[in-house]
Amino acid sequence: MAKPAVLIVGADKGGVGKTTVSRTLLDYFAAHQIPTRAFDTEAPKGTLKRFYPDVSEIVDMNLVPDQMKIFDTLSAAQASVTVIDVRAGLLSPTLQSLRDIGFIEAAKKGQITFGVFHILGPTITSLDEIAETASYLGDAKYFMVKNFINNTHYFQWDEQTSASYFKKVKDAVEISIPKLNEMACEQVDLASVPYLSFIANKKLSGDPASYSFVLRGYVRHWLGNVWAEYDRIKLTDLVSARAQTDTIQRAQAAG
Amino acid sequence: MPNSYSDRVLAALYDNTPAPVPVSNTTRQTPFYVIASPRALCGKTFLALLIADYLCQDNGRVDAYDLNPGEYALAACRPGVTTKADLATTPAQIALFDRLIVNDGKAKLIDLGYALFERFFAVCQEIGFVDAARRRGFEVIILFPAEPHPSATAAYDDLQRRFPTAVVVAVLNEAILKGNRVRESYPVDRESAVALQIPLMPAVLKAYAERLSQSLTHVRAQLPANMPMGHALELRSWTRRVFLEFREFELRLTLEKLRTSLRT
Repeated sequence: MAKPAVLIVGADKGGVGKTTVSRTLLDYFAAHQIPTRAFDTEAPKGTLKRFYPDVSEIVDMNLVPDQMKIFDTLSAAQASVTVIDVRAGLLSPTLQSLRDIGFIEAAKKGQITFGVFHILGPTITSLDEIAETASYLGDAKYFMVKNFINNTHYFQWDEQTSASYFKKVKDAVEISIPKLNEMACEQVDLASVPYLSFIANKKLSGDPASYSFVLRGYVRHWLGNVWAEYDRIKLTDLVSARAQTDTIQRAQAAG
Repeated sequence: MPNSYSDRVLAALYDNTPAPVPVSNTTRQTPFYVIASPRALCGKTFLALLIADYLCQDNGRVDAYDLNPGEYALAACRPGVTTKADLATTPAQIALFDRLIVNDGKAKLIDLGYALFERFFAVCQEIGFVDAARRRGFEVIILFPAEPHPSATAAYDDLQRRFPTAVVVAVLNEAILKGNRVRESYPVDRESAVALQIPLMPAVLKAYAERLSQSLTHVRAQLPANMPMGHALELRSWTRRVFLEFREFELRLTLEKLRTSLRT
């Protein structure tokens, strides 16, 4: 059996497209038939839940019972992948909590696959976030996501400065999320459906919809580019890592 | 063409559209003509007008779209069958492509202005229009007015490469080419895509033809009254030659499909 995988999507700044990235991840795993559950930390309303009501749950990461709901059920859950869409400003506190409860230690031991998708903004403050986030990561897979959600140009990062920050995180991998056509973005939001359903011209209920052919085409093209990034980082391999193999490898390394 | 597993999943989802028209090698597909060149003044609108008139004959029906913002010459000449269109905004693209993709059995024709050449094909490629149109029973045909200029030949090659499922056909218009031999510069990538030849229309006829209020289809059926008989007969003869060229092209397409069907 695949060991549980926890993927955290977060940033310390709002409006950088955390939920967008979470949605592309959920669609990606659905397409690859990898059972996935999601936690939406936008308590009490939730954004992710609107698009994925069947697999997502709204939680408050500040509350211990909700933390238990996520982390105490990792092995028992039918889904092998858990995606947590962390609310703006809560990334560092969440990682701190994970360290405190021994989660990061468990990931180090290979009992859990742990990945962080850190959505970066265009300003230098995002680079400071990298430094802060890195201090909690342990052996987590760290993905730095440049989300070009608003025609953002990462112009404020001069190469030397950013390289010095990027070096602070061992094996950090950069991912670029291209911009989706604005009207397509709006219409998917209005439809409140996963990107996959929009492309397939279906409502959340599975009934046929009448979305624009052009907009469906734009979404398909865009999602194809995003998924090409996930293919590049071999995301399915990461979350399908088997606990047993790891245990054997560790034993071999030790012995 | 989908390559990775992710691409194939997205393609399969996108194709799962309500009631697509089944396409086989033997059923007649609805023609979808795009008249395109990245260069100005190479006879695109005149060719579009000829195709529109050709498609209108025999009770044929055509929906033409004039993509020449600021000019809209085709819409002015054939207002009954032509819609003015643009690509500048996403709503404008939706207004055009969401209509074009519906296969109601009417032939489609686009007179694509040189200024929108790149944008049109970029959007087509991004939204997967050509393949989607084929799945809905359209035969996508790009008629490319040939010229000796390197940018024209490069654009022709580029279209063949980018849209392998479309039929890209060079059109040798004698009035534009003025004796230049360019056939070798426009290689054919399939048997049906042999270059079309538009014979030179004598200047005096052109002057009459441009003033004609009726379509060339009607000229074939009834000689125009406001034209000397000799010119009218000559215009009819010229129109017959051009329409015959188009008819032969359609036959080549049908033959190509039959051959493919026999092989499979």
